[in-house]
Amino acid sequence: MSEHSEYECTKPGLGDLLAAYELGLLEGPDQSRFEAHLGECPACLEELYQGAATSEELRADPGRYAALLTQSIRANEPSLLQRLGEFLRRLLRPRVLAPVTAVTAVALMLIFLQPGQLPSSAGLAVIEPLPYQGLQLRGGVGQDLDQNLDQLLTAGMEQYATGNYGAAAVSLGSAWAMARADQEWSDRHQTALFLGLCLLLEGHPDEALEPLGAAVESILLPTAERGTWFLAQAHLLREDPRASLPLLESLLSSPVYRDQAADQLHLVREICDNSYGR
Amino acid sequence: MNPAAVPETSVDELAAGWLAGDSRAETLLFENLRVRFLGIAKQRVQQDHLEDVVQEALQIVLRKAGEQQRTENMLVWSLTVLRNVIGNHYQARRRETERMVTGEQILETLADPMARPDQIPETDSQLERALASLADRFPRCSRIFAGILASLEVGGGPHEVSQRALETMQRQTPGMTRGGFYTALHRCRSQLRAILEILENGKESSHV
Repeated sequence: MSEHSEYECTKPGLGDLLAAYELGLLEGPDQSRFEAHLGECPACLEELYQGAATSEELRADPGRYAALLTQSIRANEPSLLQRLGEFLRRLLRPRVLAPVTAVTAVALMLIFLQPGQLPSSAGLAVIEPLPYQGLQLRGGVGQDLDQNLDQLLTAGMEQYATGNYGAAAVSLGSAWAMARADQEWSDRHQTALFLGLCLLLEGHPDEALEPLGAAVESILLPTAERGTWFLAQAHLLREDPRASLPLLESLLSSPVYRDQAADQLHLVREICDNSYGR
Repeated sequence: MNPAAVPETSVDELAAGWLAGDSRAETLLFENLRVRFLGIAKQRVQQDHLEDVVQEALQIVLRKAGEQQRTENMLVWSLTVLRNVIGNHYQARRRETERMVTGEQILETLADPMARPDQIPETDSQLERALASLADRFPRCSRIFAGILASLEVGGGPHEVSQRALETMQRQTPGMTRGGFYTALHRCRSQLRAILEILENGKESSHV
């Protein structure tokens, strides 16, 4: 079994309880149900074994680690100037703006904010690497998977797993260039998704649009939803928030992305409402 | 695994029954852990040592759990015991191999303390670094973990702890369900594990 965090759970719905179980949040029937699942799912048992020391460490001194996290969260919070900018941006919304307030606000803007400091849609983008996922090579370029393609895909995902997204983008991009036109290629959507993600992580949202657009077309819902989310992030990074709106709206029914999409949609709509002057 | 070996009652409940003197609970607990231990150990230990390793781990688990009257998070804790036993098994085998080196090599090693392998990994500081990195890269995840850990610190039963943490999250994300909370936690756990793996492998990149 791979040491990496992504694993093949036989029942992902139950497997999602793993973190809650190992931190001791389950009890009664939920606890028994998950333990029964561990008996049927070697991957989850292995994952629990791999993470047992960490979770026990966290449970042994939760106050200390909670304090450490809180401290780190605070350190990453926006500065006073950023918060002032956000406050002024909200103040400048046309529906709440009174003329005197507008003058005051603009004056404050001139004092405190540099040109271009108004919140950009790129600042809203959330690009989090997906857990490592080994591509299951099933053949499909014609009937015979090309050996070079196999090697490129494997190399790309290994590079991705180590956080070397630039190199991964090169490998996956080469694979994508070789086989993207082949509709029979069974790994095309997964490859497109991880290629697009690597490009985003490397700061190339324009180049990420095409592969992410392909990932959205996947018939596999998780791949399509991930593609949709990252395509929306790509548009935000490109300062094209309007293009992200329908994508985020389509994720409101997603059990995975619903909350994140709702939060982001709210902010993106605010930016779109105020973007008339840009 | 034989489904019959998985009782309706949880491992924690079996442990509580065993500590209360229920011999059937003791048998079931022992068998439950043994089957799970075998499943893990067989991927790491040669067949002729497998049963010895599992039995040693079980003996430690039952002795220490008895001493500590432990009934909480029994399986996860037991897996850490198994991990230590397997680690010791590896070390014992390594020592056997090291007996093969020449006396000169041993002297060289002793003369240079830096040449000796670090037997005690700095897991604490790694975990701290990983959590700091999580807060930097995945603020939402760090808030989820912080909420749970703060709730664990307050104490109470599993439902009480998870309910408090859920309510904290619901203040940030209204309407979040318990299932959604657990799923989000699971995803965040994966992120933390991925960061830890990168730190452990010494391949920390600018993305962590």
